[in-house]
Amino acid sequence: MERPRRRLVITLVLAVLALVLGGGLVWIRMDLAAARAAAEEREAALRAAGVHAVSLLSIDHRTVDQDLKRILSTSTGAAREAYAKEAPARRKATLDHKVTQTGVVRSAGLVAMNGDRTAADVLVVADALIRWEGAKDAPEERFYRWTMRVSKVGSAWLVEKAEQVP
Amino acid sequence: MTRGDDDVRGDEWGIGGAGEPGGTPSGERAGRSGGGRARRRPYGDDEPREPRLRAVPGEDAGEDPDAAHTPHRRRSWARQKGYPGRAGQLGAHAAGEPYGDGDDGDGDDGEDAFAGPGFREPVLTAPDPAPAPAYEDVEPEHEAPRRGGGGLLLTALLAVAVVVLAVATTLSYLELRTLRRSEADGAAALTAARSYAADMLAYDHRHIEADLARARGHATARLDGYYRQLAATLIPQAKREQAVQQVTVAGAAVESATAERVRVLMLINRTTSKLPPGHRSRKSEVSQGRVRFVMVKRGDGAWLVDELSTLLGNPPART
Repeated sequence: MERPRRRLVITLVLAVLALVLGGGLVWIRMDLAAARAAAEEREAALRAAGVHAVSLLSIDHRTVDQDLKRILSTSTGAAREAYAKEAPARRKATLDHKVTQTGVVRSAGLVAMNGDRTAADVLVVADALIRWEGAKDAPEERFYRWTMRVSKVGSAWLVEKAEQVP
Repeated sequence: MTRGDDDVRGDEWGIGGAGEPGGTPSGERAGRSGGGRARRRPYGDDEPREPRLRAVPGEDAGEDPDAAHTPHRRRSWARQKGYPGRAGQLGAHAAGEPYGDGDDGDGDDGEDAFAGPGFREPVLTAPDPAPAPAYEDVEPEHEAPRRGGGGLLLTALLAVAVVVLAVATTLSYLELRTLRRSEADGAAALTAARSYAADMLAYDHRHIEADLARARGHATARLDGYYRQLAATLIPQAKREQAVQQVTVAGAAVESATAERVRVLMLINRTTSKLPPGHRSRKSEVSQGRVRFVMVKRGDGAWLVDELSTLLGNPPART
């Protein structure tokens, strides 16, 4: 009399446990997926800002058209429009002075990301080394600090705004 | 597991079927298990389903001692599990038995198939007369053991499911907690770093000892060593030049945040004013800097600066 009843109780308890755990697991997995996605998006946003910074700083008179295209392809919206507008002047200056400029990112950090994970504010710190071919001047090192707004366009993060921090 | 005397048969079947088919049956069980074994033989001992099948007859036997046990068992098993195919399979197998009548395409027919005296014989001719009292013992609760027997499988499956779910839930929860913590730690460390920036980097020659002591209050033991070294050169120099350095934070961001270690990037503006010996007026200079604070969490939850760097790496490669 005792055992079957006890087993029934155990079975019921296990069933309830399984249900509770199953529900909990589904719930946790959903949160986990969101948290993982958020972490990935944060990294993607930082990477995009860093790539854009390198594009901005790396320009070579021998590959100037390619370099300018890369600036456009890593940006969007207002920033892209501004770059497109500046491009001819920049191209001319680069060619005229036979500039070779190389950029490197020292650091990029996330200030904030919006709840939808579609836009983020990023700080980027980068250095550039500028050489003028044929010039006697030593290469010049320049330091840059940017605050960038990156936004997700489709599946890509692109820089929408890039301002130097005074 | 403890067993009451009354339901020992059902359990013996259940347990024996589940784990130890070669267990030592008592006399009464020997008769029945002998019959059961004869019926099972064609399945082979490694047939995984078999223990479950075997687990049932003892219980059904209790329900209907005078009739053949097997068909009942099969039928009820098949119904219970919703496995008509399994019942049919059993029937087919039974048809191969010497006493079977070859019927039993489905579970219900099995009753007739096994009702033949030839089939019943191994059970009823068991040498030990003990079965009868045992049946009587079980009789009043014949419903319960059957449920319990099917329940045993259900219970076992549920137990496995619970264990698997518990492990999966725990692992997922731990990962979620780590991710959430690193996010929360990042935000907390960012706030702390921002508020420490002036303490760590600003000084005034009039009270530079106190300034450095304050900086060391936010430093880990490692960085504290650096500040002690710095004090040896900075204090006399600052006093000599009457230097005052002020620091404002123009921007702060989280570079990376892992478990209790967060790298914070800060854009700082330093205003340094000096009156070097021999000069009549103070010189003031503003510089735009970038610093990284590596923040670590102390046991009590307070954030400390473990590393401080100015992010002035080697110039980019020249092409």
